[in-house]
Amino acid sequence: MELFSAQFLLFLSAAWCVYMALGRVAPAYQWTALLGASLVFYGVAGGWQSMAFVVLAALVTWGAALGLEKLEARCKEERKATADRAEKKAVKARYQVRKRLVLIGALAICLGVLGYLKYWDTILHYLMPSAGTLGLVLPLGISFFTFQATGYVIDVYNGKEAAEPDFAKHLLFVSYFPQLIQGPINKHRTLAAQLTAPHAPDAHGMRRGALRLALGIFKKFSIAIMLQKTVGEIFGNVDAAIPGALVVVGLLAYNAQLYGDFSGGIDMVEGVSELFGIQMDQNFRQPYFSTSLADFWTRWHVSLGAWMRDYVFYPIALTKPFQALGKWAGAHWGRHIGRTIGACIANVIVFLLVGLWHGAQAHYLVWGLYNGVIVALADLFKPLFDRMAEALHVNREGRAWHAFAILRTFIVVTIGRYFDCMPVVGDALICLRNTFANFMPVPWGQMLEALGFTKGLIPGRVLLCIAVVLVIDYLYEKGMDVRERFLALPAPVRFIVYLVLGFFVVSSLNHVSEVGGGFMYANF
Amino acid sequence: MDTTLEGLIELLQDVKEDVDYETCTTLIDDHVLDSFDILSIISTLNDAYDISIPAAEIVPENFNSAASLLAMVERLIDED
Repeated sequence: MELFSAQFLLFLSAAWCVYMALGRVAPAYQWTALLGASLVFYGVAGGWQSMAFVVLAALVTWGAALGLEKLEARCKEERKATADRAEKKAVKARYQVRKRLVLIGALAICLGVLGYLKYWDTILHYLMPSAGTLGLVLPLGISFFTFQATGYVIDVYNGKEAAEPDFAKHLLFVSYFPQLIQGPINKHRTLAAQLTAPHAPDAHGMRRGALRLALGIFKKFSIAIMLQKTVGEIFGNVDAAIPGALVVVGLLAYNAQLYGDFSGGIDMVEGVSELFGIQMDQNFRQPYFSTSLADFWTRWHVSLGAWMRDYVFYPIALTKPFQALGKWAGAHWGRHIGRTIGACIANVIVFLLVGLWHGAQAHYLVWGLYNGVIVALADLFKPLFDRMAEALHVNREGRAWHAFAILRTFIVVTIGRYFDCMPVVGDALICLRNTFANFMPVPWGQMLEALGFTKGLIPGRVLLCIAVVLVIDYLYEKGMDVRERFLALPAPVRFIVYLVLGFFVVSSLNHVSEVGGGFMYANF
Repeated sequence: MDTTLEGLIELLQDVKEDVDYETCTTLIDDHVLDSFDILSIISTLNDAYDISIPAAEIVPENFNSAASLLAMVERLIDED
């Protein structure tokens, strides 16, 4: 079931009507309509057989969380029963081991299933290239709901969340249908209570949700779908003579396609969720206005970044070896290196894992390593960059520097895209080399003609749509609530805007039959 | 072991100067402290108070002010 289809519209209308009707007659059970809708959505969109994986993830994390809470309660009771400080410590240590075993067991099952389905075929291919694949099919959204469910159980282990006693409510948290296709990876503390709280129809909230849904459709169809074929043709068959100029245009198009696809898809599902009165976690914050690569990664796929920060980065950086390394480096190499070295190494590990999260193929690992190393080097050499800026009298508070930093970040991100966009590292390296060594061997028009791009590469209308999205992002960056301002415009103005944007969407529909309407991140 | 607010502020100033720890209650929310500062603060407090601050304690409620940091330290000393 595609998000932009009559089938989904029908499903959504039915789910909304049942949800709101149930809210009137039995508000305490209104959430069961969401659970029913989520299971139906998963069954139709992801396949009924795959539903076992969602239920398994929910079951394991629900049981583990309850077990952890029981162990914690027993630990407190036993500690209370003794006055001896040493005995209290021993009790705590004993229960800590048990709790850790429960956590490890739950993580091993959830992440083991994910790892097997996602990586086993690739690993087999590396180990035995001649052997056929097992043909494992990745259940819809498994990376997203697995991370969401495991995040919850880690929070319960850490005492940050209370365990949910009702399995059906927990199943809803794991399977809530708007998040299933490509996230966001919601936090239990921000989503769970909203899912089970009663919601009455809220006209203003629904208008905001519908507008966000419309913006998502615009991004997905007028930009992502329109560019998909061009990007595929440019990077589909990379040969050693590929002109660098074509690579650069292809990567710029890929940047726009990916942003239109992922942030558009997220706008669509966030908008759908808002129709039910439920706000999911933020996943984008104007990433192309970032002033550094580290800043970019706090604005792109925010929910995955937050997951990695909370459950990987800090736990690694706070381990004894990392802390000891920081102290040693501080004593030998100076205060700055001492305070940053541990975090820098942890960052490289995190980005490698983010690469691995996308897939086990070598190009994702290179992409992760590239990002991790750039972020780490930027932090390690910060004092040097500060001194250089001071020596050159650069005003880093000014607008010109800000614009330069945005452009610099865009270039750094785009270089990383070489390894994200092309599935073979060798192809990415050829393209990278030709960007500098074989930029434009023949004039542009002649080159396009020779390569078969007789109608040009990127239609002007797509550039216009990209400009519209950039302006909207710019206004958000300036602190404007664009949706609120838009909804306050006179109705005829809004109607014209909808008409124009709708034209771009409708006129892109014939491309959908060529490239399909699925989402890129749904494959992860 | 100096578990007074003044003692803790002195430790924080060793990690990062030019921050008004006495009045600021939005050290995390306003991005006054970055992840390097947080890690350095944890390392310093672990050594000074002989505690072990786990990653789970890294939440804005604990790190937004010197007072909330002190409350966390006192709780961890007590739990230990």
